[in-house]
Amino acid sequence: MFKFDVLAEDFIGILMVVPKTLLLAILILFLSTLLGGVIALIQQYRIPVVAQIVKVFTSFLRGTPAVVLLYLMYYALPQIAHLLLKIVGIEFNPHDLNPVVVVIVTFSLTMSAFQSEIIRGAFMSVSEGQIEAAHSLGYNFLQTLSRVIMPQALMEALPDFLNSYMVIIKALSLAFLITVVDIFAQAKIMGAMSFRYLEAFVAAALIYWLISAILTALINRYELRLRKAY
Amino acid sequence: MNKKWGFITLAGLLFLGACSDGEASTDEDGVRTLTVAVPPTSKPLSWEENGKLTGYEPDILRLVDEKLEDYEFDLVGVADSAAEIGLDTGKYDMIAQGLFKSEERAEKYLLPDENNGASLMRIYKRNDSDDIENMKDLVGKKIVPTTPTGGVFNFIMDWNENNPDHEIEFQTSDAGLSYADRMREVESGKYDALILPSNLGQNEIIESQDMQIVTTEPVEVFPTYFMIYKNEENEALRDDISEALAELKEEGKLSELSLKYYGEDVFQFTE
Repeated sequence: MFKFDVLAEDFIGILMVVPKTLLLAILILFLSTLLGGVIALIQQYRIPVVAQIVKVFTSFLRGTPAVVLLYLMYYALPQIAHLLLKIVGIEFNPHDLNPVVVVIVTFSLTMSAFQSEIIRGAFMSVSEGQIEAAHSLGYNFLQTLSRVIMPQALMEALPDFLNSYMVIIKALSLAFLITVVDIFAQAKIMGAMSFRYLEAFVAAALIYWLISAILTALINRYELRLRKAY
Repeated sequence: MNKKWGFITLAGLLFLGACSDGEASTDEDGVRTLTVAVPPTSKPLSWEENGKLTGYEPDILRLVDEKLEDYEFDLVGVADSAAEIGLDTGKYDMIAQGLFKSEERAEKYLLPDENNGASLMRIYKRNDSDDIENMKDLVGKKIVPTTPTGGVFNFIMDWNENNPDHEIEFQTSDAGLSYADRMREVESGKYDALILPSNLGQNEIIESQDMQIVTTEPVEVFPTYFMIYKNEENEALRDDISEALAELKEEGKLSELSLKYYGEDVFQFTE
């Protein structure tokens, strides 16, 4: 009842969309980390008004399921883009907004709330003494950040970033709601072609697992190399 | 290997569970009570209101029940795939879910000779899209994405296979956005056309939301049938139901119900 030739066929078919999924996820990770970094800085230095707004913003993002935000963005983002571009004088048809853009914006926003916490935690892990020592040696703010804080914070944050990356890859299975085909969506399509869903889903599970195993091994080695330096 | 045995055990348990459930019972008068599964939330096909199953299929079943003296129908609300699995195992004696005939179904179940309805595949478009009348006109148009697990997907795939000169490009998406929103996307110009069977209550949506959406003539007609659990005893039941349905058609009762629930007589397309 379980056909292994169908499984092999599905496996290869799903592999075709793996690069696209990974690329989309890395882009989202990059954007959300950037945004998360800004959020962490704002909260760290308690910039008046902005810090309060950011607090409400992150609490909303952390408390709302990604699927709900995806629906909201699907309706709202084209209109927002239309309005914003109109202000700068560019005529933009809201129907032309690529759903991939909606996916990238939505997941970058949701993940930024979590990324900001990871970054904050990592910076806090660098002890005050280290920073004082750097200052006493005459390091300025940027030198302290790039030579003392960053290397140590990155080491702390790396496993969490990998975790975020896996979360994004898995969350992308929601993107099919608005026609963006990822690993799981491809599995559904392959299943529909052969009328055999079990094989397609097993193939998808194997591929997810494979990706996570390879990534974990790579990051572990990188982390060890970073730690060796100290 | 372990996995395989796990599956077999699980399948076996499910099968045993299903078997132990109610079989058709016969009382002293020789009247056999049949369990018939209809959809619980598919307005206007069949839905539950104030604890009572109403809709197109339940109304037809009641009319058929009246005609058949030896049988009594007991209606239960069960959603699509669960109903079909229940019919496979004999949990239900019959299901009425607006299903159309396929080779696989004709082999697995007993189907009456007479259809009791029809699923009309139609194109929904803006009322100023005069250039869209049939499937051929959809070449190069933007079509609302369809779910890969649905009948519309198979319908378009079949069309493309049989009409390589008029291949229709379309995207797939997960089910999630409602038909109302999909029609709104056609209305706003995001898409040009939506392909959908017309028995899902769209007319109600178009009317209540006052949408500028019109439909084409059916691009394909799928007659729908009751499906009966296959065994020797039920062969007589199938013949009785075929006869009852033929009579009801003759009397115009089925057309009446079709008009009542769908606003049109679907039987004009299946004669």
